[in-house]
Amino acid sequence: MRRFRSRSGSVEMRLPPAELEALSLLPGVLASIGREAGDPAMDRLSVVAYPDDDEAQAEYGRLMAPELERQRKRDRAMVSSSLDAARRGPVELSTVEADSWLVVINEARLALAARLGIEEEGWGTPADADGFPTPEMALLLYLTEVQDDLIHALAEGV
Amino acid sequence: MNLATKRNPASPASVLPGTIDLPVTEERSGLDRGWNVVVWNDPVNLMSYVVLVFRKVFGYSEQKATRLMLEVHHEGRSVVSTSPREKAEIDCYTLHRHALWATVERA
Repeated sequence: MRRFRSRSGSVEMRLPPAELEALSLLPGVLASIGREAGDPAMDRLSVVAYPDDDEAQAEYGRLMAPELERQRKRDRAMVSSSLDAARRGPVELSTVEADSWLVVINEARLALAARLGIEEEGWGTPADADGFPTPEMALLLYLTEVQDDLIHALAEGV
Repeated sequence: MNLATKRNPASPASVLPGTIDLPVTEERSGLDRGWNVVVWNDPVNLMSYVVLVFRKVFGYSEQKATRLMLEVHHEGRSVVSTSPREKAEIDCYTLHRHALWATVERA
């Protein structure tokens, strides 16, 4: 079953109950970013435009970082709101709302990957002693599948 | 190059009356070729995601977006646009919002 389908000017989202529960982990993953000192997810999602120019970077960060923080909050609030709505049935997302879903899923994927220490192409699947993916890796793989589904729906409307 | 010659302090006679004698900087001299937005390779972002973001942010065709994505993937980085600095920074911000690894540098 496709979770996202392109409609004219919008995207229809249909999520079965089990997936709603899995996706309800998203706000918690994102809220935890930077909560602990040295969280690698914080570095991955930081805003660096001028890595070799401290002065230019300071100015860029002064202008852009607060706006990005506000935008991320709006994106996350929109996803939480539409997750609640999805418990009552299919939800029609505007393309702007679908874009919020896209970036929120991606932020969560990147945060999980950073914490798993993924730095190379062709990353494997860290498993526990019984051969099952760790919970973080299982969530990363699941979110990748959801994001791929959403990308296909959005690409039809570009 | 031409502007730099006109504003060379060593040639005051070349400065027209009533003109403002701006300091010569590379940005004003005509040597400035704009600012590049560079996207760097990332092992986690999906190829299809990067293509979609390039199409949405820059309005590129699927073919061009795919070519740039593959350049990022194989070469480690790609210049995805060149524009005046303010526009480059706004584009970089939009790429950062989509969590692509993007930087700005002189063209």
